[in-house]
Amino acid sequence: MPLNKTQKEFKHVMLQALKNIDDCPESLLSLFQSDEISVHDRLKVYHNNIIGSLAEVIRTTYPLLEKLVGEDFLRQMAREFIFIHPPSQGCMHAYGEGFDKFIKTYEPAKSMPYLPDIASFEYAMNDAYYAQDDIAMDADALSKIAPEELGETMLRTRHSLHLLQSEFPILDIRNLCLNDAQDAPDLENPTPFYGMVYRPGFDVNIVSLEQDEFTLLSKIKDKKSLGSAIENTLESYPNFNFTNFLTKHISLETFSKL
Amino acid sequence: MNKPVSPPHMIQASSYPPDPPLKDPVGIGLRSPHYEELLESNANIGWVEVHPENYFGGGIHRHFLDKISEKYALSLHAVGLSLGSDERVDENHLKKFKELIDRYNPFNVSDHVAWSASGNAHLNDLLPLPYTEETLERLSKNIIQTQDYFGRQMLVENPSTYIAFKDNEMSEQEFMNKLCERADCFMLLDINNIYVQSHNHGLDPNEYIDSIDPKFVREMHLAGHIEEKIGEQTLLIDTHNQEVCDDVWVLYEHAVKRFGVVPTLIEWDQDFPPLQTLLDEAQAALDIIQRTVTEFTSYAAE
Repeated sequence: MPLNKTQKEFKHVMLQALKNIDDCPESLLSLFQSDEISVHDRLKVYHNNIIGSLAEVIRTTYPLLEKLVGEDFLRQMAREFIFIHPPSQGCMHAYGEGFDKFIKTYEPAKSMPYLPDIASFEYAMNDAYYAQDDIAMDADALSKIAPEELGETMLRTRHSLHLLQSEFPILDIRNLCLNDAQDAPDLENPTPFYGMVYRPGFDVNIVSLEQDEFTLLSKIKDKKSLGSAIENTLESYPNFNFTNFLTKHISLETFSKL
Repeated sequence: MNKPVSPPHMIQASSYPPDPPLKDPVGIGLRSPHYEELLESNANIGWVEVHPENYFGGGIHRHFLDKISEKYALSLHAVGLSLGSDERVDENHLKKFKELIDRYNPFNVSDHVAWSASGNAHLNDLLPLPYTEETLERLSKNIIQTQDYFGRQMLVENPSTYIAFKDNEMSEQEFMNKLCERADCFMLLDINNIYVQSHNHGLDPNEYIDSIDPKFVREMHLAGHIEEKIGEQTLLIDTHNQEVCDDVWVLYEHAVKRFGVVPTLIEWDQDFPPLQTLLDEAQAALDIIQRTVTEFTSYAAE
C-alpha cells in the first residue's frame, strides 16, 4: 500500500473509539507483522498513546471544566471532541480551540448550559498565557499625538487580550471551583459577565468590565479608529466617561505600544 | 561545586565530531518544573535540550529559556515536524521553529524518523514507518526541505515502535544509514529506543549499534521506558518517565566505545523526578564516557 494511503487508513482507525479497532479494515491489518502479540493489540497501544495524550492536553487547558464535571466526564467529552476535531498542527498548546462550540452540541452536557462559556473563558486564559510577547503603550503616548489626529488614531489591544461575555457569572463559578467554601452562585437568575483576560507580563489577568467599556474595547479590537469607537459607544451609553476609561486601561496596560 | 571531574586530557578532542560543540558532553532535557532550580544550581551539565514547540509562544517559558540559554548550550529537539508524512512539512511550523533557531543559535537541531500528520490531522504521536525505498525518498525530501529552510543540517532520531510492517525492504539500521546519506543529515541515536526496538521486534541491540555508521552520529539520548503486559507477552513503551535501566547503561557504554564522545542527553518527559535525579544520571553518563574513553585511549596507545 502506498505510504499516503497507509497513513490515511492508520489515522482513520486512530480517530475512532477504541472498540472499533477490533473491526478495523483488513487492508490495514494485513500491512503489519503479527506474532504472539496481535496487530489489534499493537494498534491499541498507539490508540491509547494518541487519544490519551490529546485528552491530557484538553485536561490541562480546561481545569475548571474538570472541577465542574469530574475527570471521567471530561475525558469522555474530550475523546468525542478529539475524534471530530483532531489537532490541525504540531504545536499542542494551541489545541482545544472550539471545545466550547463542541460542548454546546454535546448531549450529556446540556443540563449545564454554562459549560460552553466556561470553556470559552478557559481557552482565552490558555491562549493569553502562550500569546506572543508585546510591549504596553506608554502612559504619555496619547499626549504626544496632536489633538486633531487623536480621532483617527488606532489603538491596539495586547496580543493576548480576549473579550468575553456570558449570561452566566463566570467569575463566581470560577471562584466556586477554586474555593469550595464559596457560596454557589444563583444560576436560576444569573448575573451576566463582561470581562477581559490578557497577559501584561508573565501572569494572565482577569478583569471584569462595565458594558460601556466592554463596547469600546470591542470596537478598538475590531480596528475602529478611536474617534468612531468612542462615538459608537456613546450612542449606546451616553454617560460613558472616556477619561476614566483611559486612566484605568493605561494603568492596566490593556493597550500595545503605538 | 559539582562540576565534572573530567580533566580535559582524558577525553580526546579528536573523538568529538568536527567542530566540537561542547566542553561538557552531557546534557539534560529542560522541562518547566526544573526551570528555577536549574537556574539557581551549579549543575554538572554542559547543555540542555528543549522541544521547540513548547516555546512557539511568548511569556514565562520564553523568559526562562532566555535565562537558561545564557548559562548552558542549547539543542532544539522537535516533535512536531512530522518528517515521515507523505506530504510537505508544514511551513508555519518551520517558520516558528526557525525564529527560535535564529534567536538561540542551538548547536543541534533535530526531529524524529516518524510521522504524525496526515491530511488535516496531527496525531501528536511518533508513528511508525515502513522501511522502504518510497519512505526513504519521502523522508529525505522532507529533511532536505527542512534543512534548506533552516540553512543548516539537522539530526534525525531512530524511533521506538510497537508494530512492524511486513513489507520492510531493509532493516531499521540500514534505513537510518541510507537516510543520513541521502538527505545529508546526521543521526540522533537514542540508546533506549534501540533497546525498546530490540525487545519489541526481536533485534540484537549490540548488532544494531555496530551497524550504525559512526560518521553520522552527532548526539545520543538516554531515557526510561515502561513494560506493558499484553497477555503473556510484554511490550516496552518509550515513556520517558523512568530512570535509565541497567541494560541501557551497558548499551550506552558499548555505543561510546563505537562512537566516541558524542553529546548525550538525559531525557524525561513526564512524572518528573527532582532535578537531582537527572543530574545524577548525567553524572553516570559522564562517568561512562570518562571510563570508556580512557580505556579506549590506553588500548589504542598499546
